[in-house]
Amino acid sequence: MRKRALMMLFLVPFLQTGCWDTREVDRLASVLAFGIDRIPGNEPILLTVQIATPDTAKGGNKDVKAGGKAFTVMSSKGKTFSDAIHNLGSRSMRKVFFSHSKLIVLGKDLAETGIGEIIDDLKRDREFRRIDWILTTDMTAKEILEHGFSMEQIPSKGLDQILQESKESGLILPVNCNDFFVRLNGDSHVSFTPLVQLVDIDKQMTSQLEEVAGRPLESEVKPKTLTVAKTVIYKNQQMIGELNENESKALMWLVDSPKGGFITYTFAPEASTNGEKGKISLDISDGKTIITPQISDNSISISIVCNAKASIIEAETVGIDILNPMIVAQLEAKAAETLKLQLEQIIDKAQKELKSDCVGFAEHLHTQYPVAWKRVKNNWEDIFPTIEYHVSCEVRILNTGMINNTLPTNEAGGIN
Amino acid sequence: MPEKGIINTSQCIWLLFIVIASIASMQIPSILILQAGRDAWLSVLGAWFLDVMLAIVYAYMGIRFPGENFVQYSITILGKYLGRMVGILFPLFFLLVCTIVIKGLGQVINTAFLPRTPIDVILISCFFVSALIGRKGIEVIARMTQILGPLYFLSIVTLCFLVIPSAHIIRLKPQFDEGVAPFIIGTPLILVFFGVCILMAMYIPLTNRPENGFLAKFSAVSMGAIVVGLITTFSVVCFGIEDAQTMYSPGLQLSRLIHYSNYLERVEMLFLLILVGSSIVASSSLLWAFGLGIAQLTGLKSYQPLIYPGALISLVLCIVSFPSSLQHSNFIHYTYPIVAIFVQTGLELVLFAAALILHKRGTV
Repeated sequence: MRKRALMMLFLVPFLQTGCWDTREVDRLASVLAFGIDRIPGNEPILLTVQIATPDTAKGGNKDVKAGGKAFTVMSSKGKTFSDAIHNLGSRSMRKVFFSHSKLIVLGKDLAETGIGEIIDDLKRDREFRRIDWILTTDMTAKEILEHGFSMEQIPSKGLDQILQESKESGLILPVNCNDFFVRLNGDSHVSFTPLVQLVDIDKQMTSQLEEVAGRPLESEVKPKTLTVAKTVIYKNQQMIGELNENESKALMWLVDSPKGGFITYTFAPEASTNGEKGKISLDISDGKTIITPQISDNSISISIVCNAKASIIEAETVGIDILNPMIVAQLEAKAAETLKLQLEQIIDKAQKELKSDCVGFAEHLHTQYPVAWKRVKNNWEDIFPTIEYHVSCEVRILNTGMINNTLPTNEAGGIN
Repeated sequence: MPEKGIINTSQCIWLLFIVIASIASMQIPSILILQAGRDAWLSVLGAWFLDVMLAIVYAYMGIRFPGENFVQYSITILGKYLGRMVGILFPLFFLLVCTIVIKGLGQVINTAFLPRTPIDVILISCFFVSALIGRKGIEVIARMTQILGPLYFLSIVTLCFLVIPSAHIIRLKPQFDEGVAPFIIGTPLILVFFGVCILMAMYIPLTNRPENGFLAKFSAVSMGAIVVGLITTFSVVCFGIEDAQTMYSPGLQLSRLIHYSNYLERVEMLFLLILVGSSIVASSSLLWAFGLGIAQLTGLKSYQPLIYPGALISLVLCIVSFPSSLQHSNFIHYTYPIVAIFVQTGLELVLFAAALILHKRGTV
């Protein structure tokens, strides 16, 4: 028995195989976000990592108050993406650890020349996760990662929150690595990511205000703001174009079922007493799109039916009677028409300008008509721009917010 | 009989289930998706049906030769020499499966969790624990599985449900895109992995109710098919067939997809728990079956002295035969199915036919 116990004791160290892979937290540099750019020269990949500065990231804000940043940005070059990661070790005192990364930013040059070489490593390396957000920028990834937020100490956390919120608010469809890869592997080999930009919003707004005021305003100069509002389209692992804010919102209807969003349009009641126009804003609470391909006489057409539940959040049209079912029906019809126009606009852009199926028609055709798909799949690039489509939308207004009718105002501005 | 232990039907069910769970957590789902594409889940259903059919034969043979496992009744049917030649194939097959299971486990741990740890150390640790359990006999293994089995079943089902937000059912369509051929090829491919449940023939003589053998296998294979089917289906709906077929362990990748806001994520350690537990218990029962089979063929009084040598042979096979994960994957994909279908289905059906033709029966 004693012999056995001694033998067990002797064997215990061999069972503790974790010893080889032990990683002390104080010797790790946790990457929160990383970006990849393409640069000229022998080592074409530039990797930029945003690392939480250990002393400040845990709430010990002494350094932040003293002017130190809560994050550190480091860069390294390499022949390949993995080579750049490896080279990062030569200047980091701590082991650079990617498992806690939240997002990946792809630089414009890299996106335009092709991202195929980095995708393999992103899938193969055990430290990268498929749930990381993926973004593209129209600048360099390094610039984006070096830029901070005023309300958030760690920028990657701020961007993560923007992306999480944006789906709910219907502003843009955030894309994680997994969805990005799956779409690239899909039938049309077209995928997309949100576009992150540095925009000088404050300067734009100040100049508009100066125009109104007619004099220069006394306002302090503020840094540019990180903004995520547009979408970048990739085809065969290469960036081919971008969608503006409205098109990005419309894209959500075609590739997902939006859970939030806004429709704003100008409205004048048909039987209006005074015929005045005003803006109406609807908040979409639940949207659903059904895309059905139809095949007849060797021609393919696509039927798109959108249904949305909405509530009125602003009705500035004067004299509008929201309690009147006829008026509500008109509001709904006009909202549906606005939505339809937005969807037609993006499909037209995909067909005529981008010439790539970012709206996912190929997947729908493949799933519903697999035999017909086999006939057209080799020529899909030529066929897609010629496909006819029909969009029909239905918007149902379910509530009118905290009030129903706005009280009409008299000419002097007072309430009648 | 070298094994004196007695198990009940529920223990028998969990013993068999654990063997299938260990398969589901490794690279088998990706191999199946590579062959059967989007129809992989149908192949799992097909294999479940065929395996239940096969279970009827095994259960019938268990009743026809009461108190005998297939090593023993191959001697009864085919005689002293030919019977032993056929009989030895079963224990050797179990040793081969044990090698595959532990190598697969070691490879996943080495690739995804402990990259700097030499794989040999992981393998030695696994074999040591497996042999230790296997040497304690069937009752110890059975009691372990009775606790771990339900835990694993619920964990895998829960893992799959948690991954639903990342799943898109459209990725499962269209079915039969390439005709029925992928489904037909996929069915026997996954059947050979379910077929490891021929271990039931080793358990039936030791159960307190041998007539429940079919019920045990039916329940175990049904639960196993649910687990393999869920992992396969969710791999397709989450990653699409193009990515899922290239993954080393799709189940592990699924667990890495789980994230609910910022509070529930990185649950792959739970998957590692299932992986290590199920693989070690499965390999311990395979080592036990190997030891018992050889002991019965050679007429030894006890199988226990054979467990450690068996584990050692298996370890050497792991290191020598599969120096890299590539050889292991290729073996599982191309060679193992041929060997397995021969042993699991071919040999048993030959014995079944021989027993009927030669009018052989066991003695009570």
